[in-house]
Amino acid sequence: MGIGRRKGDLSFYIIMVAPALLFFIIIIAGPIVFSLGLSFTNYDFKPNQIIEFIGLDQYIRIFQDNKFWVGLQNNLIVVAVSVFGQIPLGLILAYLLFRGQVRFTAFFQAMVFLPQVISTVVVGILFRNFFGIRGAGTAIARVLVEDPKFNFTWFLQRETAMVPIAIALLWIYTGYFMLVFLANMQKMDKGVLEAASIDGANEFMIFFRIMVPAMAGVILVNAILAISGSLKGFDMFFALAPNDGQGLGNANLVLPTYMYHYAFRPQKYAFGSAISVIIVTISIVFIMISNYVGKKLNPMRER
Amino acid sequence: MKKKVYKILTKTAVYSIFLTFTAMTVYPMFWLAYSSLKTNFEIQKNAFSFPAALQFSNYAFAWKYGQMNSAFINSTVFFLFTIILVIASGMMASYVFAKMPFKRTSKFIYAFIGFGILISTHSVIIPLFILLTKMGLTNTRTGVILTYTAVNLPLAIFIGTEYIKGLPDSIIESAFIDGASNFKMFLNIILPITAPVMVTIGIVTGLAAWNEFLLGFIITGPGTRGLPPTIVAFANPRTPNYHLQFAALMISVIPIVTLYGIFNKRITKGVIGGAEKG
Amino acid sequence: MKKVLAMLIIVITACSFIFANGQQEKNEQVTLSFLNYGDVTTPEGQASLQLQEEFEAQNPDIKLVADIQFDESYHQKLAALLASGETPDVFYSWGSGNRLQPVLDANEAIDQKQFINPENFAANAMIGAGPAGELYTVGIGVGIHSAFYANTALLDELGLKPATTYEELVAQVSVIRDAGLEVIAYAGGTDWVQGTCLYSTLLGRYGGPEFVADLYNNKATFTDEPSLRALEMIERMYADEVFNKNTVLADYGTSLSQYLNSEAPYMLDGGWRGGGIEDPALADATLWTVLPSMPGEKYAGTTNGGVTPGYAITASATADPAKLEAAKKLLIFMTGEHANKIRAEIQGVIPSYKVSGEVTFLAGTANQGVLANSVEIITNTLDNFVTGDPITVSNTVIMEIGLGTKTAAEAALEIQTAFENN
Repeated sequence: MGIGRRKGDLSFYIIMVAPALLFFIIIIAGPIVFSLGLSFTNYDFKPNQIIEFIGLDQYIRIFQDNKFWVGLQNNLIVVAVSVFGQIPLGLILAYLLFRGQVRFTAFFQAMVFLPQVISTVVVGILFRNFFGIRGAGTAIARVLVEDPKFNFTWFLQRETAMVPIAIALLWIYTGYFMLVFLANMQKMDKGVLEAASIDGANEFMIFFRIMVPAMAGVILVNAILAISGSLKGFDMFFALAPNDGQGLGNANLVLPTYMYHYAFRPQKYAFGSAISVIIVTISIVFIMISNYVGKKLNPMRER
Repeated sequence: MKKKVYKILTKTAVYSIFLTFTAMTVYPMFWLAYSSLKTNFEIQKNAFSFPAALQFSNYAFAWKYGQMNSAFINSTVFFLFTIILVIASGMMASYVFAKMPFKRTSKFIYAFIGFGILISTHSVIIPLFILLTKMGLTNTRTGVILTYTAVNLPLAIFIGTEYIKGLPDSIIESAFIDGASNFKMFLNIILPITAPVMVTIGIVTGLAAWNEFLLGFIITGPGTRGLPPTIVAFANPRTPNYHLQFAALMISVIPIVTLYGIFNKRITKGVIGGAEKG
Repeated sequence: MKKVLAMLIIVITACSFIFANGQQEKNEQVTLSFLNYGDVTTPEGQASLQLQEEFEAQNPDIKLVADIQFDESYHQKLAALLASGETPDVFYSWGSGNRLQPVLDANEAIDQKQFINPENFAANAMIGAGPAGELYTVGIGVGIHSAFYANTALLDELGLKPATTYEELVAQVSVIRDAGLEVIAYAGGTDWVQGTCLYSTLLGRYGGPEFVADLYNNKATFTDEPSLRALEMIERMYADEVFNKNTVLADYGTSLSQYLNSEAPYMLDGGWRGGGIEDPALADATLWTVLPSMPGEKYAGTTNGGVTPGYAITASATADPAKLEAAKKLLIFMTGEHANKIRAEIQGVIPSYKVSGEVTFLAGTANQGVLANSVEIITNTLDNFVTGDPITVSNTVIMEIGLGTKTAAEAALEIQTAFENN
């Protein structure tokens, strides 16, 4: 594909690519490489500090730190909620909308997509208040459990500390996935679905036997998107969990907030660089795994 | 007959599910909206109650003391300039990756930049901050615009390249036959055709730039800070001035929700268009 | 047409550079950069802002480039400025401890006594924390860091009197809880409050005024009796239901909200918090006192506190004589008589400056001054001396004691380990 080579192509190519490439190298790639290098030293940019190369020491420090493992675990929870919560929920909702022949689809679409346009930091603050002692969420719960003094206590225990975060994530992203799936469903060949219907298949069968396989490619791409997104999240955790994202007794740490609180704020820049490198590496590993799994599950995927 | 009953039941079920879901999505925001017009006392007394009198003074106070004026201007500046720069440099690179020869180089650079989709701002904060300081770009709008542009380019290039790949080669080749140079062809043929994807990129980038928090706080100072960092500083939980916090949140939310209300279909299509390829 | 479009893009890009850099002006003024502190949604923050603006108006030959930040944002900003070398000329500074460390590390902390007249200030505000007695900040007030507030009206309704001993307090717990209230409004869920309020008061009660300094100088450890007793006492307060899980859930805004809404008859918070009681009836009914006497305490009636942070000139600012003069003016203005009077009026801060004539205190806060005078010994707050990791760790383990996931002994050990590794 593409067009044949012509005179002047090289200079054209360079001119066209240069701006984007420069932006990227100077702001993103360069700093990342610098980060990588910094992670092998102890240099925290203190005045009069001597740079020392200390090899893997920072990394060892990280792996010995219990808080890192808490953060990693919480990140995995976020990944799980995204991949096994938002995506299936979005898929089912899309299917219902697609097959349900309901009117006002545009209205429903507009409503469920609304959370997407709001800053995640605002969402975090909103939910912190909503589930706080003066919030409507707590007030509703008080009515439901018939206890006027009820307060949400999920932040108190490690096991439940991530629940409000999961709720906020579902609130924000399910709509997005629903619309992506819906758009793809609408592009499908209607004939297949009609034939199945005529053959007497019920909705469940159509969903699992026809729709899901047909959507496999979309599901995979979105799973990858969800995974890489869940490792990046900072704003919402910062705004929602107590103590600027740490939670009570560090129960709500995720890797980005771990880096912020235990490296960036105390100005341990070399330590922080090592954490950043680890986060990026984990992202890459996850994506490679999902790619692999995707190929295995769907060997005849085109392109 | 049974089929009809079945149909009605399912329709009802589906409607209920969607209405419930919609309610759950909209309710927190609705609560925020009317709570922001209550007095602090009213808020703490009863979460459900509606305001006895609409306290627009909350908004006036939040606007004045939260320095929303400058925050709004800054966010708008970031929004506009980032979009322009991303579309311009993004489309230029996208065309080249999609259609030009030198395929191997393209693949390499494309993957290199695509890697950037994985990187989030906090991974580069430390070195980026130091770099911008050395370049004298902290506390300037330029620094923020350049950073936002770089951060949004990978996705823009991804979207743009995929789209242009889908265009037939023939239009380009016929332009060449007519004697057009590379530049002329790009400006006169490609850009008009890619208007839809430019809108998509604009929307995705614009949203990201408007709502960005972390970088926008770290590398800015007074006078150059956008809305999200300003809101966070204002709506901290240190003092129980809920009425002001809520008003501040609403101030940041109203513009974008209004735009969304008007351009709803466009915006939705835009954001989804980014991930539609399967 | 397309060419025009391309030109337009280039022009706009160029403009963005010019526009963005249009912050600097060239004229005769001395430029002074100032990092101020305050929460502008509160009267205190507004007072800080107001003083800043007054200074600007009175000094047209000084161009003040100022930022006002609060709490986390403030420390974040200061750290960022120091790391990048864009040190502010004058800034709101702590005199010692955790918060001063970044400034010390950057070699920007210098003795402020050379810029002011020490005779004008209270004696204990002029004691420096530096190795040679350097005063790193000109404190703008004397502060109590833990005050025990009692809502006498609410207690009356319950048929109770403010508790003066721990045993009395425990006896009151069931009455208070049965009425559906919390016992003490306390931000058990916000990290820094643990060390600054509860832990430090108890350290003072069990170890006396020198103990915190001893900890810092390695003459005592966190696993020694006083610290261990303090942590055990915290454990006990949770066990006796004086504090409960709602306490750990309460963040710093929630605790005040509870007290203001009569959802708790007592509040444990800094002396500065009393200024947040805006309702005159409640302010009148509030008794300012210290934590009830604790079983086994050695130093009864003490509470912790110190000289409040203040303003300081950085080392960098001294390089340029014109700038230094301007900085001195700002420093003297922000710590002088007028500023102190305003703060007493708006915020209830007890002046560190020897103010001549009458000082009007913010309604309800004259009490802090009265309280400060009535307390014989004001012990030190932990982070007046100890900085860094140990503070983070001590805050966290105390919250974990509240959560029930750590014992006092484990907590003490963890803090000591963090201190040794620091």
